[in-house]
Amino acid sequence: MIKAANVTKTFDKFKALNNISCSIPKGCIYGMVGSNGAGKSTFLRLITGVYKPDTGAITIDDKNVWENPEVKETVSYVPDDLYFLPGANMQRMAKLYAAVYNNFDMKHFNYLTKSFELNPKKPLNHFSKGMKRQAAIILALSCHSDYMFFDETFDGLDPVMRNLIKKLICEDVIERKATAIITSHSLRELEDTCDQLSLLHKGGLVLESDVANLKTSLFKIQIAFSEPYEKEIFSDIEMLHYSRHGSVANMIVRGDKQLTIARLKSMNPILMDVLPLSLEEVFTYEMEALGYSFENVVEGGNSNE
Amino acid sequence: MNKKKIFSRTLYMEGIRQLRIIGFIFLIIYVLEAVLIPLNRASLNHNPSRSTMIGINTMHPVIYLTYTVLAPIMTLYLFRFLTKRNSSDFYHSIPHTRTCLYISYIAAILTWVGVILFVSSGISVCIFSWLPYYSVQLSMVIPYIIGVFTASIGVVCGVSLAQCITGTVLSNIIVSGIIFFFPRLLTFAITENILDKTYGLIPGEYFMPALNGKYNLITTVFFNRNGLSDFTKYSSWIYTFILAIIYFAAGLYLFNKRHSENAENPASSRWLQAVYRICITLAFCLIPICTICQDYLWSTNDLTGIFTLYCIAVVIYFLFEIITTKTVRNLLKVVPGLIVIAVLNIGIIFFINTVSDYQLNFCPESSEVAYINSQTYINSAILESESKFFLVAPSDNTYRFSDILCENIKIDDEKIIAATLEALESDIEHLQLNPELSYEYMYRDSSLFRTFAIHMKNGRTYYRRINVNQTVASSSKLYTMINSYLSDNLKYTESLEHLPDFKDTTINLSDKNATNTQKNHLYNAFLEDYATFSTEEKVNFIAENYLYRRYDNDFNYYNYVDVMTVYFSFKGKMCYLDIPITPELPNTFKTYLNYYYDDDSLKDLKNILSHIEDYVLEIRESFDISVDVQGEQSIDFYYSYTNDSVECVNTTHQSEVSDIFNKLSEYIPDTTAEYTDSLMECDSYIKIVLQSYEYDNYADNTILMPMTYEVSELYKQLGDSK
Repeated sequence: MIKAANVTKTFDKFKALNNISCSIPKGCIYGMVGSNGAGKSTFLRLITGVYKPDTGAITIDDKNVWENPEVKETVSYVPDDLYFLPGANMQRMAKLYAAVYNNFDMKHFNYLTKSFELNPKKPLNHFSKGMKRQAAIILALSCHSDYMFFDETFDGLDPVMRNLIKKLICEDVIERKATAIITSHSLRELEDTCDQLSLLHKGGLVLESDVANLKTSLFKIQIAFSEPYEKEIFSDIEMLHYSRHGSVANMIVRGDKQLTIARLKSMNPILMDVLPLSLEEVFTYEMEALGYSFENVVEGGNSNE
Repeated sequence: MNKKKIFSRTLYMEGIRQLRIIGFIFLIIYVLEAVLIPLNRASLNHNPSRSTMIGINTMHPVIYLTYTVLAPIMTLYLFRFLTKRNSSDFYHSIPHTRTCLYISYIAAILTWVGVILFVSSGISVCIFSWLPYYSVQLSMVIPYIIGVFTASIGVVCGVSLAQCITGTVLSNIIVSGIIFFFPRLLTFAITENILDKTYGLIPGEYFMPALNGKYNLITTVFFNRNGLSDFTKYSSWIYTFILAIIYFAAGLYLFNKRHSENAENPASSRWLQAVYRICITLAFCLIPICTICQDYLWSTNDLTGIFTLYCIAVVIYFLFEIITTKTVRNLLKVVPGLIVIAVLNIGIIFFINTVSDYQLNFCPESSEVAYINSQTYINSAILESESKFFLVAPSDNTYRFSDILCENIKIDDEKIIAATLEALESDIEHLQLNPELSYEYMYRDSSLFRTFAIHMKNGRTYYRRINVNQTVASSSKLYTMINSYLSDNLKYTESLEHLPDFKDTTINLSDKNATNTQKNHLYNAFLEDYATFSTEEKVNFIAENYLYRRYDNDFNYYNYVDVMTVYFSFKGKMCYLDIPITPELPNTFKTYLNYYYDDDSLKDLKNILSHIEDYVLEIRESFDISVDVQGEQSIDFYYSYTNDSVECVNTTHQSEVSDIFNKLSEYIPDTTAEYTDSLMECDSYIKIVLQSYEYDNYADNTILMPMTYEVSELYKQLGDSK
């Protein structure tokens, strides 16, 4: 388990992370979404042990990460800005990883390289951006780490590769109980892969929740009555959002779905539809309830990360 | 501590692997040089009768690139991950402690450096040892290699330290330079200015010895003319190694403290950036500081130049900031640093002036002095000729034999102490009255000056160079008073009896080449002559009093046919004794003349002198003749050969000159015995030096002639014909 407790990180006068606390259980795929400069990469670098937090503590399996080779041995990290030795090819990088990581599996590396149809002898600076990402992912996966961190890894990958990599990550998570953290700008990318999602905004953790829980805890109801009605008739229902067009009201409701449906049916509506929400819609309404504009949070922001 | 946290074999091998391209390139260069130089030397003409001892500087000069080029390049390359965010992040994320990474990579660099250095040096030694005309003394070669490797360790540790506190390649290089050179530059500028402002009264090697950079092998060649020989000394190895340890420890600590996000920033913090800026600017400010100090010294009033230099310093200050940070936004913020620089400048100038004034005016009372003794002094003349003697002289500082003998002999005689202080006071007055003549006074003939240690009763010691050829209160020369004292000193006089055997010496003649057999005979002849000297004569001889006597016209400086310099080890130091071969050493003199002025040689010389122009036509090369008499300016004639014609270019009386030389040749005896007798009977001489490009040694054609009345008349005619 990864635990971050009251973690703050400042660069000069810029606060990249502000008092973050979270808990990432073992064996889950944790998604982190946020705009540029939200602090996603900083967070990953902190739990990888690249940065030292100014305040707070980050532990993996109850052990401090900072300057702890034993913990770092269990972590592999694919950053957004990839690093390869100048002039190196994949084989050379594999040697570097083998020198650095005790658990590096050369056989698995060769297998993945073949699966991705990459030429291990070709210089990496001749690879396209997407191929470089694939190479970095292969190297990381070949380490057989308990914890894998991917920073905006899927950017630049085509949908086929994206699915392949998600499949590989899921296999590792299922088979070895590994934990993966994936950051991205886009919720849609993470939606069908992650178990847990969090939203970072301007160095703060705004929202964190289980994906299944998110999807089931909120639902949309369209309802209409034959007589005129006011919003107050729904006062005993927890609504995040209410809008009305003519006689049809749209509500985003949090709570037990069956109970809510039974309650509304008792009002004898002439029309009632229960609709599922996409994750993006869930986030949008949750954020609105917190006072944020989701669009501004995900699409805007600065680039100080 | 877990060994894995200190060193990782896999990281070490990774470092070796990353450096292999650079390593192999340099290895090839080194090995090629190690092979090609001896092959080239093998193709040269050699004297079959003698074997030339060869030193590492000639065998394998490229080894000095090891710590100046190879070591810094490798370090900059392997630790370059600290200059990019992505690589810095990677190395900070790997499952190794920073200590482990640092040590493993340093070890990898030193492995490459050591392999390249030792393998190539070994090849060079083996090939030269195999060549028939060269002799390699491992006791001379190995110390140099050890010294170079020690310096390389220091450079690797220093450069990596610089990389720990900077984040760009440019700042890596600049801060490396600051670490190595700034302290040395500062102390050098301060000490040299103080020494200059004391007009050479204080011997440099004894002034603030802790600040003497000769022990620092990394920088010694840049600041010391004798820097190369420092590589062979244990003291330099130890000092440089300790320095390397300090750099290493500091680098290790700072590497652990370093933040990955410092990559791509010129400095780890704004304060460090300010320090670098101030150091670079202050280094340049040493130029106007020295100018101000010299201006004070020489009153040249070069205010415009000084002002210009400080303006340039200000430009450098801001330019450094712009170039390293690549922005002009911070220029206003860095202005206060100029105040720091100004304060430092004032402080340094004040320090130099204060210390030099104090030192220059220091002349204690006799009652304050416990005792004095003479010190060894590195003879600059020896340094200048070091390249000539290097092949045969051990590569170390070489001291005058008389200086080493005197070193530990305490002179507590009140009269001598008073006389010495009187001479010192006279020197100070002389220098203060005529500072513009100080160079002339102190350096024209440095042999007149001896270095003394003045041991005060309060425990302090001051070192001064004092002119011993001065007449002091007792109307005696200071050097004669000292020699008289030494003559009564049993410890000193006993040492005079123990000149070494030939086998323990290395001997050179200044004007001639000599085989080992010839040197053996000459030296043994000298020992025979020396054995006949009285104690006083031995004292005077060893003290080289002929150097003073010539100024009293008591010694015919030009009656020596050659100077035999004998090098030997005494009390753990390499020393030399100059033996002028004169009639005062009859056996030596005759042995020398028998070797180099046999009947055929005399005949050749007579023929040359009598038919100069024919000779020049025969050799088809230019030819110079120099005629020297003590106390007179040399008379020189230059014969130029062009298109089958000969012209004496610096006289309009060419035929007259040729005629005079023809007449002079008649006074050269036909046999060695007659020649020897004629020289032994006379006490003044004329020396004729014949130099042509046919000969590789100008002294091969030197002839002394007794200054008889007839010869002196011909000499005057020569002077009139110019």
